[in-house]
Amino acid sequence: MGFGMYSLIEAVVLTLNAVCVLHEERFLAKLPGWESAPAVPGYGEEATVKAQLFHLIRSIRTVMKYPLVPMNIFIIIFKLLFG
Amino acid sequence: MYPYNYDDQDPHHRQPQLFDDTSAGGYQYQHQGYGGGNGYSNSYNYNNPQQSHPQQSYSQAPFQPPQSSFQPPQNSALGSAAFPAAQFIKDPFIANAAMQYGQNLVGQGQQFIDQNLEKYMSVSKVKYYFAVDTRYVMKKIQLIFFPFAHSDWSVQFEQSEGVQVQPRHDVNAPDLYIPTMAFVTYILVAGLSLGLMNRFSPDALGMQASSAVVWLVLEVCCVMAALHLNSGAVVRRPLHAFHVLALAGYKFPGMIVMLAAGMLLPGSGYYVAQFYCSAALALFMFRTLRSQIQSQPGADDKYSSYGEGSKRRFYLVVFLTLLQPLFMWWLTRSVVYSPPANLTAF
Repeated sequence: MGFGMYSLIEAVVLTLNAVCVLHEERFLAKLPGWESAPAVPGYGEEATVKAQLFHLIRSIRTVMKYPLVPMNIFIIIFKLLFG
Repeated sequence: MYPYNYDDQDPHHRQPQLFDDTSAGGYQYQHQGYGGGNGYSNSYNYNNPQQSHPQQSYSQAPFQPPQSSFQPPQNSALGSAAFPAAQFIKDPFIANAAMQYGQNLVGQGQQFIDQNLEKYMSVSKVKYYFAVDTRYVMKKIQLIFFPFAHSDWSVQFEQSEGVQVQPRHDVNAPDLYIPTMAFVTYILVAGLSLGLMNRFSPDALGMQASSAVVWLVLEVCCVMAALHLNSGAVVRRPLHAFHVLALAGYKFPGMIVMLAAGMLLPGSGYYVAQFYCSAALALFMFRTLRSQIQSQPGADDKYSSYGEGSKRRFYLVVFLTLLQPLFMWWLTRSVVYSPPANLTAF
């Protein structure tokens, strides 16, 4: 298979893009249980898979929102130049 | 290596060692005399392969003057052949000064590398996974291919600190030495298999290598995500990413055997080997993961009393176990040797 490191990087960036472009008001706020996944985890037992998943999505959005812009720009330029 | 006997000067360096085991920590680095014997620029060359084992003892080790008596005969043999300024090196005082300067430089460079590498990858943690010896490697490979007879799969912890015992002392602890070596061997065997089918080119080798790396990284990421989602916010100490990487890398010896069997017995050898290696690895993984995941420190609290957390862990273990044969098949199917069609036309 012709997988290289670049394919992996591209797949990761695309996945992170997908997580970050979810609309907060129209989609995420309407998910049941979204408000109870706070930005900072208290040590109450947030053990359900849904709570963990929401927490993961929220933290990915918080962390990766700004670094993703230069990463996307770099990949766009790379694809423009090298196909 | 130079078969020096240092026993007239330093009782510790009695016999030449082919592999300098620096992962035990604090080990007196033995090759100072060798590096000193060649003085100038060669002291950089031999240090490069060892960069994954930072030697703190290097900067602590005292400069040993009695070994300077070895230098002038060598330097005269080397220097006069290569350098026009060799007469300076023959002088023992300047040779001493040059060697000391070279050692200082190398020590500083080593410190610089250590400090910078520590920021990106915790080197001490990685060193733990390479603290193996021959007996451990033999037993572990035997376990990978024949896990049926082993009875005690629990990992021992050190009494005082609560960290896992080094792999050299405990067969059940995972290591990164076998996966690394098996990975490189797998790439070479895949190249051989491709060459027998006249499909070899150097890019194909690199492509195989990067494919395997990518699938491995993907698998580790998925496992870490599954573990993270399932066991709450606390990541248990033994389930470090390197741990998962080590366990995921144990499929490479099986893949090597599968490819080799495919080459030795074309047609059926690959499938037989695949069946056996998958079964053995599945059992190995199942028992290892069960002892590591289900005996977590957090498994004794409210989770196990409700049974829900431990059931999820069990399903996770089963999933990981079944994932391994799938990966082994997927990664080898494109390189497995099949006899060329024109041979069967005889």
